[in-house]
Amino acid sequence: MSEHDSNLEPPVALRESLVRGYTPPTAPSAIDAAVLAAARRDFDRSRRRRRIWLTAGPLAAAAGLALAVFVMWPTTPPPGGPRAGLLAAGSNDLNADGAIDMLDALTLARQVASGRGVDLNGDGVADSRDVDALARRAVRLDGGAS
Amino acid sequence: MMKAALVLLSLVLCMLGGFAGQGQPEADRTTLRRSVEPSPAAPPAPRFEYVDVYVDCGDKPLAAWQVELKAAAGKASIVGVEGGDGVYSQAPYYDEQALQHERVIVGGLSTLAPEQLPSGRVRVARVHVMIEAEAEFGVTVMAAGLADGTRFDASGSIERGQAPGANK
Repeated sequence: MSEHDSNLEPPVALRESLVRGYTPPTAPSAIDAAVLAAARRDFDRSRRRRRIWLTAGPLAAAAGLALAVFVMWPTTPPPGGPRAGLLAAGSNDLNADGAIDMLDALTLARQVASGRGVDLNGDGVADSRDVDALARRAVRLDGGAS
Repeated sequence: MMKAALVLLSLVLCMLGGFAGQGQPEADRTTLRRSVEPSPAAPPAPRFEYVDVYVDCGDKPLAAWQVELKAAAGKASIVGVEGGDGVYSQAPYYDEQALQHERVIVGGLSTLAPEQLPSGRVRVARVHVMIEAEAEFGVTVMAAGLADGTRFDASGSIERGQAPGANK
């Protein structure tokens, strides 16, 4: 260090006087409390927001998943459809003329009326519902009449 | 409170719409009017008709019948099926999958005594159709039977008509 630089050092008396004269700044306790409360409020708010996201996120994901499952779930009936089970057991060509048509339904209706019908729909009784089922089959567009 | 806000919002929107309309130049309004007029090349609007289906069984009593009705040409779709006359006035059997398509199989039966059954030309059903392009219909009798279930030959025919008030 040169002689010139050492001349920049303040005198010891001045330095001590400056140190003695310095008092650190102090804020009033009311301001301290207000700042602290504001910080707490902010902290609580962000914590609440995080909690909402933590709760809503999985809920939204679950709802989305449920919706996707609902939309994608196969709603089409199994091959053959619900009709496949209906009258599937027999040929239902009751008059044995090689076709299933309204004449078979008429034959069944006459049998049911005389108390000796055939339970075609499997509900345990031979009644007009069996006639309806056979008639509906006869008018099917997909070949029920053939 | 919410309802009041919605009503208020609707009113404001209506007022804004009214002001916008008032401020529109006459030329623009003319353009708008022209744009909603149908162009001469636009296809005709679909119309609704019914097709009465008859089975002519001569002097035999008709105890069971089954016919196929089909739009043979043009573009038409089945929109409804109802019964015919007398014994067959109730809605016949038909496949609901025929609705919105051009083909339907219709059938009916009765277990009444032969003397109570109709004979001659019997109107068995009325099929309602929507015509999009001039269509022709064909009917085929698939089955006709006597009260004892005996099959016999019968012929089918149709008559078309327009339901009152259907095409206003």
